[in-house]
Amino acid sequence: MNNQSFVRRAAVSMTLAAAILAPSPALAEDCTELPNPVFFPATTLLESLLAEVGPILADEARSDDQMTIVHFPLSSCISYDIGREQMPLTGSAVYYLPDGTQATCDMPENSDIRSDLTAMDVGGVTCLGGETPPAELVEYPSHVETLGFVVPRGSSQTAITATEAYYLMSFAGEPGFEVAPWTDPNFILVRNPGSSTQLTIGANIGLPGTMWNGSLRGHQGSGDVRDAVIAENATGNAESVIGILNSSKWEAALNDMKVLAFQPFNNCFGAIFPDSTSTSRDKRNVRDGHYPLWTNLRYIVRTDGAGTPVSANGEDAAARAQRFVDLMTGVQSIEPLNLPEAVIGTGNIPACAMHVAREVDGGPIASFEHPAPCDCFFAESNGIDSGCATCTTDDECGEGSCRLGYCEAR
Amino acid sequence: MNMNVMMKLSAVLVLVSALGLGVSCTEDSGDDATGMDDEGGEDFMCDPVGANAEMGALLNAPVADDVEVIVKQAQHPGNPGPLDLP
Repeated sequence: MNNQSFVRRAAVSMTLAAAILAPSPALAEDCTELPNPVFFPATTLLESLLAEVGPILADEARSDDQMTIVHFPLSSCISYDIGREQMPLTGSAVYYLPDGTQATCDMPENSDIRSDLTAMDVGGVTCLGGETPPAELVEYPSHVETLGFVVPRGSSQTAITATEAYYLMSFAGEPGFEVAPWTDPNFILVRNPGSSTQLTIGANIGLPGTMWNGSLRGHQGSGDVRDAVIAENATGNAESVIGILNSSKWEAALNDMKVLAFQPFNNCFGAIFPDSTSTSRDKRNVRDGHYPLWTNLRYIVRTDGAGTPVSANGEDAAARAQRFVDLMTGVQSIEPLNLPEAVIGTGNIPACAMHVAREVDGGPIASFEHPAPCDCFFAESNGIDSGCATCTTDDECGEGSCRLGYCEAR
Repeated sequence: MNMNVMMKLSAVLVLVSALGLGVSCTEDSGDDATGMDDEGGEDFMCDPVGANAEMGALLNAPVADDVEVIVKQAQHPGNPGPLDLP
């Protein structure tokens, strides 16, 4: 076990212990009694998307496809370790009823249930500190999640540079190395060394997410950071507060917080937002390579030597896990789940709308052409006039292709 | 002229194009817009290429007129990175 894994294992123990010790709501469901459960420790960055997808899959009218996604919201690499080491799942989890209601369930004491699959926003190689991941853990890339620095809505700040962020996370306001107005480490709200948000941002500010200053105020989940940032609107400290977050969280809380423009290293003209402006929702600067703070979600499935999915919870559980991944990566589809729409609706970017890609987490960005682009659909779904004609068949699009209801250029 | 110099010159041209194409700035567009650092070390010049030429070109590619760019007066000590950070 490498050092990063050891530190995270301690974090897992503390997290699960906290879950057990925390007062559980009375009459919480037994997770193992839910219909067709998929036990899924995964990044907290998925919470918004699961709120869209979970109710659809939970619908009992779905017969063969019906499944209950039992989400254990954790940092990416902690989720990965739980799946990789096949730790028994304990504590509480979140799931959705068909009507969209979020509910919690508890794992029974001494349960021997293990994860069916996991999901995270970095690759296994990053969680393992550069080591090659086990061959039986297959990674399925999915949508792009935008990351950024956020401040309370009441803050006057609009931008941060990569160098400023380096000083913040390295020195945490130490005299002589301050970055005004973020000089108090109690108001610099970060995650933890196993967080994909922290790891990805770290890779782009010259300070690995595993080496951020211990005085900064750490949080287990992205929802915790969101709540902490929002809370400071009412304390008079808004100007001193800065946090790191993902777009699906900040876009659902725009009345209370805002994302800062970011000037990367080697950008020589100024800071830019993930979107073309502070108020738009087109992710233009992410999609064309100007804004580098983003990461790909990956689903991780355990397989046997022949590539067949396996689960310690049985063959049916393994089949459900693979079906879930196929649906979440667009390999298969079912009515009424419109995956690109759900991804866009939660502030994320489907791969088909990206024009850049990266091979290494947080690493260099390169131009990329998706084989089946969906730029028109992406724009229209965000309320932007794409100028694209609507269509039902390719014949209506000349040289282009009809995709998701719009004529794409190719 | 070696390849490295050529790549850097190309990137500078990209940068000049970006500035010439009317990047809209919402705050002061003084020397910082050219990568000069008023507060940090002397004669600092932003490197628009960096460790990866393609990424440098993408980061510095011209942006459309409607893209909001904020030229910020840096609040950190010393020169902008990524080199020589403490």
